[in-house]
Amino acid sequence: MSPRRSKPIDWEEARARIARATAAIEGSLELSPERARAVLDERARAMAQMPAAPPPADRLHVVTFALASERYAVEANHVREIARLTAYEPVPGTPEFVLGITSLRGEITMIVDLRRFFGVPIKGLTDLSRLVVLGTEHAEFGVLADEALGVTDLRRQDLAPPPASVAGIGREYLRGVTREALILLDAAALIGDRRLFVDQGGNQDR
Amino acid sequence: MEKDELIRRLMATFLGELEDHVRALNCDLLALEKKPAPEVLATLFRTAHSLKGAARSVGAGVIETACHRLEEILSGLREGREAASPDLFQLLFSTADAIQEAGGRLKRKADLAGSPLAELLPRLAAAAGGKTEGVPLPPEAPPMRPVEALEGGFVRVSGEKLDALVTAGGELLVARRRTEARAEHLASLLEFAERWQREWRAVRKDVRSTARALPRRSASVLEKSEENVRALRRNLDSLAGGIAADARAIEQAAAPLEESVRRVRMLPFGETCEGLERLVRDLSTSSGKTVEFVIRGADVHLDRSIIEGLKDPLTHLVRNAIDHGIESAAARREGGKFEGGRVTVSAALRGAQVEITVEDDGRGLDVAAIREQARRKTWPLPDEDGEAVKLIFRPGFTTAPIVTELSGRGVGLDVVKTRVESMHGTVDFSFQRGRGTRFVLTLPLTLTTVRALLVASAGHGFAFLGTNVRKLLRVGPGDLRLIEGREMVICGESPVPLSSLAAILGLPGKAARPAGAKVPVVVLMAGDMHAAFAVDELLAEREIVVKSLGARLRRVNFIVGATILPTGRLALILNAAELMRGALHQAPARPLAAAWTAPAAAAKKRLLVVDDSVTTRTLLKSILENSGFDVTAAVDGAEAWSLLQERGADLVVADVEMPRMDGFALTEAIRGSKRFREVPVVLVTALESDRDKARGIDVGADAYLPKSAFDQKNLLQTIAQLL
Repeated sequence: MSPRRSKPIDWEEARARIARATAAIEGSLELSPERARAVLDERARAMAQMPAAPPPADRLHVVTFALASERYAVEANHVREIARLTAYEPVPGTPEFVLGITSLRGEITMIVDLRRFFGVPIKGLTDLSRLVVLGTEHAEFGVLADEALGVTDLRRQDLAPPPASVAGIGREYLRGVTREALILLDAAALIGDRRLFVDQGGNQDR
Repeated sequence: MEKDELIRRLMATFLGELEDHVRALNCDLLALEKKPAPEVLATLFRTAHSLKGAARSVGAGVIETACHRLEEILSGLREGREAASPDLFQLLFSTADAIQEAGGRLKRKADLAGSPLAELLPRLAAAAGGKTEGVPLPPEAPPMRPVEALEGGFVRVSGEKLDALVTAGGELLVARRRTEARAEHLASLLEFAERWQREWRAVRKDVRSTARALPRRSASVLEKSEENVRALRRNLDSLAGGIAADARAIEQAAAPLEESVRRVRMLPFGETCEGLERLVRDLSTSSGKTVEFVIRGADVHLDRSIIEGLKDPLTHLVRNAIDHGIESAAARREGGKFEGGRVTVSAALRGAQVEITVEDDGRGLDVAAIREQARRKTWPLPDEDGEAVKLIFRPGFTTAPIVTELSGRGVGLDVVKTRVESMHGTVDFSFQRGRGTRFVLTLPLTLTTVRALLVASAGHGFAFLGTNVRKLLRVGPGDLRLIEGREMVICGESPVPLSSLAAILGLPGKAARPAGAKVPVVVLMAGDMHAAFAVDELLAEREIVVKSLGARLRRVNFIVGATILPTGRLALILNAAELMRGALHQAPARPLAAAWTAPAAAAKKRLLVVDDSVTTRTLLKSILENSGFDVTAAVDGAEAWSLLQERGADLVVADVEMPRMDGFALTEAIRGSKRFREVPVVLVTALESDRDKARGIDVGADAYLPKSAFDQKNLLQTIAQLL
């Protein structure tokens, strides 16, 4: 017999312990909406995080996306986010390649249809329900895509120098093409392109 | 705190202080130049001394040395060792400018070596007479406060932070409107439950007697139904009460919050005028004119966006006033005026607007010279002088006979006008030959939340600023007058030119209206312009949060911004002045009268378009609408099914892959229902295998169009065959 048995059982204490345990278990199962939101946010952040370490020099960190029948890539450090396009508003009088504007968490963002920008003939009907938002310091504009394919590393040696044009896109916007026909666009050239600043004022600002 | 972080924050604080110090230097130097006074010298000295200490703590050696020299020069002046010559003042002013420029460099993390300030150092040393005693700094510079607190309970906050507050506040406003909409939705649900309960009560007896004949389980369900409806109604009732109370509570908390944010952003008008005084001084020195500069209403408070936006227009107008307005001293004497000219800038509140005037007592505008220039540029020239002088706002206009160093650089009054109009303001002017010119800018007090009229046109939402809306009318074909080939409506006493908003914006117009129907018309005014615009619908008048069109749409004709509606959709905010000019100068493309006289169109066929992609949905909808169909759109099969129950349709065009209910399931549901069995279904899909096609035919689709080979002619032909 253990010496413990000699002690009378403290039922009060036992009940209190069970109650505490129950509360703890229930508390861990039933999250308050705030807590649930916090947990989900945390998870979303963890998932959305791009690997922090810069890729080795022989590799390029890229975001790939599908548009019509082609697959494109842009360097990840020029991509602010990938958003789902659920609503947009056309802006009258803007160039044809500007589909319109949309609100990304309250900030208005211009939507560009790269096919029209590059002058690639448009065939068929595709989803165009994703927005690849380009920019470095802040969001510059969103590029329409059918699907975001993910983030991968490209080996520089797998990248063939661009021919004069690929799929109707001029060399000035190209960084290269892989054997799998993934077209690496020059995001910096797109971001810096004057045509992608719409300014219809008759007078230039100083 | 990390060391880098500390330095970064110290630098941010330093740069903020630097701006204040430069401002103080300029202000006191101007005062000193006008009237030498020992107390001004003392303040200047203190400013130079604090800036020196601050510069040392962030290791900005060039600024530190420059301030040290300033101290020496100032003590020289105080002790009478130095003479306050115009050259010396020029050097001191240049130093203030160069310190500001150096601050800019530090902000950009650029080097100060080779900066204008570094280049001024030898001249400063020479002016200080090579003396080096100055006032030694305490061996340890006082540590700067990394906290952004200033004396007197004031806190320095960056403009971006304030803008972020407004953005967040704007989201809150949208959410509040949404909550209101939810409360309304709930109220209608409650009404529905009440009706249901009444209906039950009316047939209660019958139901009870019928129930007796039913099997026990059915009987009990039937009997409990009334109780359940009552419970449902009770719960809805308390839920509706709760939501209404919440909405009120949110409103009570949010409204003062918004008001405080709005007030925090308000800055005194005097801040816009900073730098103007210095400008006047520099201009009068370089032109040899004596000009007195007066600011009135410096304490009128305006939103910082307006304050910022006014800086360039005011600078331009003041420059013009001195360069072109104020005459030389000799000319003024001849004209019997005081030798010294006077330029006044003032601000005054006029209701929810502010009126800003820039006035000079110079020569006024020269109508002949304006006409002459217009002739040379072969511009169309109005007969009336009152119209001709408005040419000064035309791009390319300049009256400066010689392009001076500071004005007349091709940036003209048109820029002033464009800027002010983009802030929803107007520019007016008046002048008296030989007596002076007066420009009046009228602007709203804030640009962040404004009262606006929301309208629909060509299927899109647009907003007019409340201050531009003069009147709302409903116009029938009989109200139109044709004057000089233009359609006009009578508003009050006078006819106002009428255009279709969609036509001016280049959007497809609304097809024929039923004869006798009235069209909503918005009469706008800006300055002395009036014009009326026909729209499809007047939606609401409410407070909206004004947003810019984003980083890339800098200037778009007729549009100055956007706002987010409670539905989550965007509405474009129109530039009233530009729109009116567009309407007045452009021949009416589509006479409105034609909209009524068109033969009554046969009842349109009603199509239901279903696609989960917003781009595809919008594209299909516009193709079909342009072909004369009445189109409703749904985001997936489930929504389509409920829309079909609600409104019916003559034909359905659906995508296959969709969340909740896909195209196959939707087709099956349609074929399985008694009511819609005969409605043709066209599937437009990315699933192109034979098996998918077979499945499509199997569930009863009438046509199966592959997206990859999509062609609008093909779609329209298919639809025509099926209808």
